[in-house]
Amino acid sequence: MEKIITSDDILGKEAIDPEGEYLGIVMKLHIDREKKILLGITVDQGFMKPDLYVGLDYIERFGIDAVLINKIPMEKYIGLRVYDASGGYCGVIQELEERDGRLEKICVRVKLAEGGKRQSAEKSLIKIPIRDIAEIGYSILLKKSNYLEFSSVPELEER
Amino acid sequence: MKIYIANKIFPEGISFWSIFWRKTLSRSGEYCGRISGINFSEGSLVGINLLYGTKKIWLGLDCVQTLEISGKKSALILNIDPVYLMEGKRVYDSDGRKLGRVIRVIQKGPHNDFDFILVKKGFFSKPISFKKELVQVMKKNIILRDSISV
Repeated sequence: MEKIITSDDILGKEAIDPEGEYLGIVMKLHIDREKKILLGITVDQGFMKPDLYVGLDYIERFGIDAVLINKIPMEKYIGLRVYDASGGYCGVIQELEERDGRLEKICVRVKLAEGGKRQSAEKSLIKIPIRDIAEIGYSILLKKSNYLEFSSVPELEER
Repeated sequence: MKIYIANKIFPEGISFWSIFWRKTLSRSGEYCGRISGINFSEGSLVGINLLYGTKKIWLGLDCVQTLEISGKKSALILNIDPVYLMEGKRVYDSDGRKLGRVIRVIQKGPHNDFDFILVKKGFFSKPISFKKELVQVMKKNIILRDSISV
């Protein structure tokens, strides 16, 4: 591979996270006007999704056909379905809580009352700490079974 | 000998209809297909049949984490990431070169393991095989360990 590349070798390329997931297309380069160095890139994630800024520290390599990124953007987790250890559906991730760049809690929108009609079901937001999560992938799998039935569900908030 | 008649909820075991057409998820939460049948041998459950697209898959009961079913939307969770899920995934080498998509996985006997993957870039291009040892990341897509010049 050549050591020096041009903007044409970066712009329009796919951005790939460490799990190999396609994030979007590199749209912009951010350059420090005074220091004359590259600061990061902007990735276009597609229709109705916000653009993603990736700093130079999070870029693993400017590849031939793709830019490899060394950190999974946390925004990717929003909208994932959450299941408990026995496969019970809990809800969908709506918000994330992070501290110092580390994921601390996921806020899951759950249906508490099992009503026959959708309108009768009470919807609430529960916060699940990261220690209760077994796997984060295509969906979120929790460590415990029947998570919502436990009285120790942390910080139940009604909305 | 126990007999329960006309009870809505039977106290022991699970019924076929409670797991039929239920969604299955791999260990990493990926959709693996829907349950289309169950297999018995000498009176005990030995495996489940899945329908993944048009593919029919048989999975031994040891691949299933739990057969517990709770709600309508609940899924059956496997304790493996089945190799057939690799088909259709994109393949990149370590230099970020796009090599194509997995068209076939050469499975190692009946085990959840593989020897080779066959990768094709375009419709008319020749498939290239890559050994398992070359695979570095095998999650949402595949990233190879080395730089491959095609």
